[in-house]
Amino acid sequence: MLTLAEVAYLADAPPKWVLNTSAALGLADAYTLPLARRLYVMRLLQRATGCSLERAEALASRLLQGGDESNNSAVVSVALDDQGTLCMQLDVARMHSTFDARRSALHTTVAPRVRGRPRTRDHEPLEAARAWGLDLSLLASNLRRTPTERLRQLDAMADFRRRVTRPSATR
Amino acid sequence: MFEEMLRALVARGIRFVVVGGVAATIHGSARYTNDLDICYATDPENLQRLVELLTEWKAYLRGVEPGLPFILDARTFSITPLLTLVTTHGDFDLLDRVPGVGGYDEALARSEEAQIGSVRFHTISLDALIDAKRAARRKKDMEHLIELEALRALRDA
Repeated sequence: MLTLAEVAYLADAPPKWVLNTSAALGLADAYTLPLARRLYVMRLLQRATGCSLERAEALASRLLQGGDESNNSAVVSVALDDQGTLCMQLDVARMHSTFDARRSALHTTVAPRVRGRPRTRDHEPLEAARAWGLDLSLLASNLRRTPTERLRQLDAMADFRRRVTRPSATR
Repeated sequence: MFEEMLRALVARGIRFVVVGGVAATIHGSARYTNDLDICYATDPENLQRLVELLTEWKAYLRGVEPGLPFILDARTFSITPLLTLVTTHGDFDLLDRVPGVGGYDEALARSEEAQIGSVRFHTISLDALIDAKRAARRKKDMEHLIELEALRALRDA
């Protein structure tokens, strides 16, 4: 299950848009990955064509039917007005690829912002670090090294982590 | 690992600035990081070089089920401002802009030269890194900020 903020990030839309769209179209009220993908496609179609939410929803349903992500392209027609119809080619593989790139970023990097106003009062950084429990001697010892030495130390640590094995670990 | 990745980026003529945990390490952070974060120039030639390197490194989306269609080309960069990848050389995050700092040009203007072995590259300055952490305002950034501000105070003392 996802949060509203996560669905909004995945759909590349403001949370308000997710709320309004879900309410207007009576989409499932649980925030799930399929819902996020559907909203992402709807948003994409709406941006590209300016079609109505209902039309975007119908097209998204058609495109995502069966969950066949191997279908590389699809032709969808979008009604523009009474006079004519625009025929649009949609790169479905790229659409899924971009959505999955957002999923990857969400899992690994994106996190909610800290709430509340940013700190405005000046504080003494070393006091704050001590209060937080940071080992300042470790930082001081790092500062005595050159940047190159610091980077080499990190590299050595990364190498160590890659090589070390834990026979008793289950995963 | 990081030295090898940086060497390859420089050898390919890719224009980038190191940001994130590796930059923090260069400035004296005691935190461990296992991914390399860079902010890259978005001109077509640079993107093409990145695509070639990442293809060679078999880059794939980190934390996503294997086997999904992932298209890695210059267009991917233009529509995906943050790519979090796993590669044969290690985890690699690519940003087209740094929160609180700006795009590649702004990051470059607020960078310093660093060197490991014969490899010279640009890394974001400690002040800019602090601005980036402040702007991102994730919980982990707030924790990291305390360390970075302490480092600046120790450095300037």
